[in-house]
Amino acid sequence: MTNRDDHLTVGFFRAGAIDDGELNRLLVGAWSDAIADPADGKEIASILALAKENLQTIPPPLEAKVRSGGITGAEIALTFATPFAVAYAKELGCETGQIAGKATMKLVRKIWDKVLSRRVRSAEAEALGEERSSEEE
Amino acid sequence: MSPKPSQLASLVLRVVAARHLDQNIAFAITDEASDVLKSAGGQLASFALSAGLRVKTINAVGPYLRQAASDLLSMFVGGPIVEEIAKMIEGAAHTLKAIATEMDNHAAGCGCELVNVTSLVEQRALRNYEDTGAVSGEAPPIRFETEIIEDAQGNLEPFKVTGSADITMSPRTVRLTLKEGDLTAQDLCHLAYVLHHELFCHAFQTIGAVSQRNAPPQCYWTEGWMDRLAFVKAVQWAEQNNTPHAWLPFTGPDATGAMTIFHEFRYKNPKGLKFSDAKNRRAARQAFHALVEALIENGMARCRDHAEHLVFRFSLLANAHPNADLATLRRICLHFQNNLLSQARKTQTGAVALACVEFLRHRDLNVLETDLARDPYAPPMAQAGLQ
Repeated sequence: MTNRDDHLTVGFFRAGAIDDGELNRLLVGAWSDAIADPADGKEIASILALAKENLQTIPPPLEAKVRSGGITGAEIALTFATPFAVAYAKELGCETGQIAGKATMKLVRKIWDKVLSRRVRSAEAEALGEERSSEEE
Repeated sequence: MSPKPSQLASLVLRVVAARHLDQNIAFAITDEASDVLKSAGGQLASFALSAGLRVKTINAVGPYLRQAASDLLSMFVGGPIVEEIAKMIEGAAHTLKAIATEMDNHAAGCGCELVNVTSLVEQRALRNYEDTGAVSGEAPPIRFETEIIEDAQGNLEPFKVTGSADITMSPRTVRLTLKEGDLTAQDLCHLAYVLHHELFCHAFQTIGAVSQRNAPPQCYWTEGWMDRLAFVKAVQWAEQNNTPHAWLPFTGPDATGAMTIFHEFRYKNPKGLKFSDAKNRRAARQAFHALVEALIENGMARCRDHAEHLVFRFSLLANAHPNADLATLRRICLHFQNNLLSQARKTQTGAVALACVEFLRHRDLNVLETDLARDPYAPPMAQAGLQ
């Protein structure tokens, strides 16, 4: 426990109306729903360069963590999920460390933007507050 | 993001103006004298505004503050000034010079370190945790960050300061966030409460555990129960007559009133919380208060001060406990809420108070939870598991 894993974070948000535990449950639901959906499943498979059938063994690529808690709210970090990295690396036939880089982070961010964000927000409109821009970091 | 040198200079000037030259801290003065004070405050405000153009490097901050101090003192040249006002202006100039010297020696220091308040409150929180035995080994190192923002989205409103803490990394980090612009004596009181909250509620949570988690706003133990403790501690600090600290621009009702406004806002208008979460936060705060009452009513405390002292010790021990994950703390808090705030169980508060006192002895969260979960209506045989 020495450094904040900011390099594994795909976005920082103000906390919404639910805590990180509930948000993670929504992420799991959104992921299952997305990979089962014909169009979105195809989109995810294309982003990750995998066959659509192989997505079933892959866990959600993101997890939510409270990055900091405070007197008037908190900040949530959506971070690259380790179980996803392990399963994805196995599918690609490489080491986990090899894929945990900027390129994969961009793919995961794309998946969040294209298929997961709207599902999480439709399940709970105030699941997350506004995103913090990188200039604020 | 750390403040730029110009922001740092502005922050120091604004804090010094709020601490020494705010109109609201000078009571016994005439309108004429008040104008002099206003003019001195305006001078520092103008220096703060110009810092963006004139302070480009960290090494330029010290000389800039000295120049501001010297300009302030030049106000005395024009003629006699009411003694009280002269003292206030001299105080501001003296503080600016002292900070300038500090800057020369430790050029990388941040604004909050400069104004000394973070270390004062950190020492206070640490001493409280140490006194309960919650911190037995080495205290976790804490790093302070200051952030100055425009707050275009109004996240800080209606206040100008806030704070946050990250305990998932080492050193643990406490960040103060201030809105760009002039500050008042009231804002500094808010800042003192914010610091008490971050240090008492968050910074020393689960010391020695394998992994830490930052508390979300929905955590009613941290944001309700422990916040009440932090608020009471902040108010006690503000009520002391300037010793051993002399940081707050005023003490007494003005200071505690400012802190109360901020504290109440978190319960009446908690931004982003669902109704049920806001209600739980209020219930946790109420349960903290009810435990004090329960200790008195059941004869387990000699007086109110003693009862409060016991609840403080209990809370600090539980909060810093190495086995105190947030879920456990929330369950414990919920037991207190259910047992102490229910009218139907009003006569059964003795068992809850006893569980609290016993915890101070055995310090075992599992035993505490078992004690609190025990149904006070069950016959003794069932309670002992002999049925």
